[in-house]
Amino acid sequence: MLPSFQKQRQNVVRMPEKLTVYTTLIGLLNAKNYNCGGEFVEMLVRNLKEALKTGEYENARIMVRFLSDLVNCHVIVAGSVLAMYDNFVEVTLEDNIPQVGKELYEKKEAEFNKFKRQKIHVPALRVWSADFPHPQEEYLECLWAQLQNLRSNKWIEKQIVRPYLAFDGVLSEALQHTLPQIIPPSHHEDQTYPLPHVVFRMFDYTDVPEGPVLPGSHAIERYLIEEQLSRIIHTNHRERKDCAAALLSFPTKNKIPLNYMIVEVLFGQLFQLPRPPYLEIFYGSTLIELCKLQPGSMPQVVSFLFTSWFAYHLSNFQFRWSWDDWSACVEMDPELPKPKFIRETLERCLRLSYHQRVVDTVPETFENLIPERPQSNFKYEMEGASSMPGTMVAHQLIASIKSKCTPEEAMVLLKDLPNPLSDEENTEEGQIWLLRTMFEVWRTHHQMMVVLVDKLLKTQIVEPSAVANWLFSSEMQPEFTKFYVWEMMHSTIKKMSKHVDKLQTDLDDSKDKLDAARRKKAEGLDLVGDEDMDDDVPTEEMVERMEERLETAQSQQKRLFLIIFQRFIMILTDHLARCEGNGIDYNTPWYKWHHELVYKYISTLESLLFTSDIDFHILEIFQQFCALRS
Amino acid sequence: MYVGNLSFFTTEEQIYELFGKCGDIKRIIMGLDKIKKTPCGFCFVEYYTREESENAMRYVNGTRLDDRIIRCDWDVGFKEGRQYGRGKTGGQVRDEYRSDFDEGRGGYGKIVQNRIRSREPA
Repeated sequence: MLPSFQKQRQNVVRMPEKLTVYTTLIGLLNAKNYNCGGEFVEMLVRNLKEALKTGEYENARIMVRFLSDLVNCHVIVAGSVLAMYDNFVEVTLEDNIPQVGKELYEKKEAEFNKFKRQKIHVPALRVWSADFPHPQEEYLECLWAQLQNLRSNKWIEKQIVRPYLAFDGVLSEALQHTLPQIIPPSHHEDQTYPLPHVVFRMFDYTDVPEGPVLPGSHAIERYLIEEQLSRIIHTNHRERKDCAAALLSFPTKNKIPLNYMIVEVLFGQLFQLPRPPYLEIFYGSTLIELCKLQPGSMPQVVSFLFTSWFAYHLSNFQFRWSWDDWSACVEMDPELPKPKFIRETLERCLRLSYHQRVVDTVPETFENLIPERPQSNFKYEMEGASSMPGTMVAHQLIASIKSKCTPEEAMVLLKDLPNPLSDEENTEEGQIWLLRTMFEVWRTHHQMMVVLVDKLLKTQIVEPSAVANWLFSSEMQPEFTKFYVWEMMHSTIKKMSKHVDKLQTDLDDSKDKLDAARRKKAEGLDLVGDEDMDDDVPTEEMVERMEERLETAQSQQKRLFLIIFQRFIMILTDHLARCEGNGIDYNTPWYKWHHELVYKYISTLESLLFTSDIDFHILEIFQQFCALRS
Repeated sequence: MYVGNLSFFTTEEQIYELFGKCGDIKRIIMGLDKIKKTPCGFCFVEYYTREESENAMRYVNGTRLDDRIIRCDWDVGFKEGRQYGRGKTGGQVRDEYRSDFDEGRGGYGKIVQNRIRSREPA
């Protein structure tokens, strides 16, 4: 019996939408054979404990839900499930960890859904809930409101399929089991908890013109459907076509405005901070599949949210869009969100197609929002170049590269050129000079700059801090609100973090190998000979060098963050002071945009950096920023 | 990774933009006409990790670029020489035998084109 139980448990976790079918089955088995039901419960409890210990909270949540539903199927004594909930709540109060709290709260939800007549624990929850003053939109707050509603509806909902009701006669005669005590593990340093998040809402019932009514935002059905859609996405995220098909064949699709709910859940994930659960392009390609499967009926309001996604979407539909709806933008201040959005979207469209295509697609009135034609501005090939010093060498160099010369041959040509920074070799000043020159040549070709900065960083010709300083420099100020600048900033931060992570892993690996080799030697097992050892085991010297490299990279990383924060604080403070001086409302679109942006980075940073050894300066600036916002 | 059914006019930048959404691109090698040295409708994209190319297979394969449904395939790895079309006329073999008119890939297939040309009065 046990192997098939194991399979059952896996199914429970993988197909939570079928949960009630499985609980009914267990209920019937239990009614026939008491021991058999007992074994299953025992196994489930064991698995639950394991999941809690290893931090698989999502799985744990589903198992708790399963156990709760077994009460409905007369397999488990109601009181013992309550005791389990009490244990969970106790841990939350003791350790005061909101993240665990969230998880537990969700578990409570299981009980609320399935456990219609038991209301004793509601006060307990309320006490707990008061400890966490989150804004209304916070996930748990919302769930709490949904549960309150469910309670006032006498715990009746319309979403969950309950096959066991049909077997009530058989089930009600079954003997019930008592759960053993389950105490969740207390807080642990290296445990990562799911982050709290905000419920994303795009629609209410007035947005759905016809067909079934959209459940209100505080109706439990809304939560249950969203939760199931999220699970479908999770199960199918590797196959966009399967995912779209699975979403559209949702079990109760005729009773709900499914398309709207799918779009809301997908976008909710896409805009999750600090980053979406899956790749951005997964959401894009899945939406395209959905549009193909349901032509004309996917809600069209999804547009104005994300430029890079939107451009990608347009590119897959021949850039057809109701551009006229947006024509008012043309007259507006280009820094306002709407014209900004159009401009940046066109910029992205440009990257996926070409300039003439964009010009031909959008109405003529949009002319001043269309980005410039991307091209290089190479001074040695312009009129009058022949009189400039260096023109000859430049052309020689181009000719050599075209004939595939070696790097050494190219160096010979460059050797005699005067260095504008004479004595200093490859200092940050030199690197910024290089970036400035790149900007001069590729000013209108934003994508090229993004790629070149990427390459310069990868080849370590330019350091991340130089990129940050350059982006904040006065020459770049006019470009400052353009998205490509932030694309560069973001990719620089990402690259730096990746680099540090890689060095850390390499170092850890090498240390482990060295330790293992030492142990072997001490035990006298080193009989294979030195040759074999040299291949794999690093020397102490090598490890030391790796440590040094990691330290350098870590200090580079800190410097990068420090620069970014300092410059941001300076910019925002300047702006506030200037507005105060001129008596203007400081809350301009410019200000909001930057404020939001730093905020976004902060959440990214928190997850990246503020976990381990925090540099005092960074912390100070971070707090300054937080104070600024309050 | 091999990418096919591109338009002859699709640029390396466009490919970078689209495939960059799936991961960090190591390099792109444009497929060229052996004789004319112009793009002939395919390319190779190299990522740093396998996971990144899996993403491209999952999310880019079968979607549009320059209004064409593009095709991605696993590839053993680029070697010098593979960037050229293997057709007799310099481009890809499939563009020699095609009998439809495909504006993005130089009109009719090469053989059909020759037949049309030979029929025209001198």
